[in-house]
Amino acid sequence: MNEEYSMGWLVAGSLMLILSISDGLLVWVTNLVGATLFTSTLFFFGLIFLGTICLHFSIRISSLTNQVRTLTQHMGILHSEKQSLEEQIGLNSLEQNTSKLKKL
Amino acid sequence: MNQNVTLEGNQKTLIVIPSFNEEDSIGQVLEDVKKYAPGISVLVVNDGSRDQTAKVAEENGAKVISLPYNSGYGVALQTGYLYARKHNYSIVVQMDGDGQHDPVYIHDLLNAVNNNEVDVIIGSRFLGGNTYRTSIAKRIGMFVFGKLASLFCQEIVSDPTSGFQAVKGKAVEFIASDYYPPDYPDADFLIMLTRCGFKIREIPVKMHQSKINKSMHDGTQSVYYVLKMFLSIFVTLLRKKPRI
Repeated sequence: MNEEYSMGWLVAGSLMLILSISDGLLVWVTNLVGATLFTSTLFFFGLIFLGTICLHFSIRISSLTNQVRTLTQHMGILHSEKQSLEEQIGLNSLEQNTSKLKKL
Repeated sequence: MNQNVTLEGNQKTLIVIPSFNEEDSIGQVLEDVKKYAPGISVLVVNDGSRDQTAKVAEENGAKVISLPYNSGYGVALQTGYLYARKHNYSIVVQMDGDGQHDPVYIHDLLNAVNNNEVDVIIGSRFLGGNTYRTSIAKRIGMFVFGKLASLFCQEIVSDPTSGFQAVKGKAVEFIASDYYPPDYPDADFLIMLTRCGFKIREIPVKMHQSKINKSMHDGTQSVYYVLKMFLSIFVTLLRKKPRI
């Protein structure tokens, strides 16, 4: 996994761990967000993290899809031009060989 | 044979035919194109076909660009526009390779795009007393999106899904840009074109039933298509006008 993604997982995992083992902090955060149960606080932040990461991945996948599309199109065009050039070179060398043979 | 002239003038013209598994029909289409639009360069974009589409197209004298895998109609079509932009073609005629679009009308499309102050000419199967048999669901879809396109384009759009079009000048460059919707470039893109100041107009053409009984708007794809089109039109209207 790239650092770009592993950082998010590490930070979110650490925060969840700290909240889970620190009663005082969890009580304080629960009161702050107005939740009734401590577990609701954990689920709330977990869902926020998962929602954010899903949104981030959707944006990244869209961007990557567009990049792959552009690459595919340019690759198709370049491949076709390469073939045309190879055919031209082949024809030219054939003509050269034919004229050499005629001279001989 | 002069490869780079239109029927009307000396602007470079390219006919783009995106094609996917159409070995049975592409040969006849290309023969008809040669017959009714002689002297115009033809590019077949082979969209990852698993059959002999590319071979048949090459044998019939078309320039072929093969994409490494099936990327969808919009991507294949845009590849043709990228090629046109790269090689300075100022007019592009796009048509399907399944025999649905009659090459007889290429002349009409080119005349219209050359003679009128328009950037995009759409061949409509519903104008001029032409009839076209299709399922009720598709007719309803075409009607709804046609009305939406007409409303936002301020121009009658009777056939928003028609892929038989002639495009010229800056509109060719615009279609080759990142603004082009890669899957189904239909009513949403017509609205985008109009918002960018391009003029579109329809002319009547006759369309045949596709020789290949598989449409990209069939099955579950049709549900996705309808939802995507509504969302895309909505987003197109919300977005800032693209810079051209």
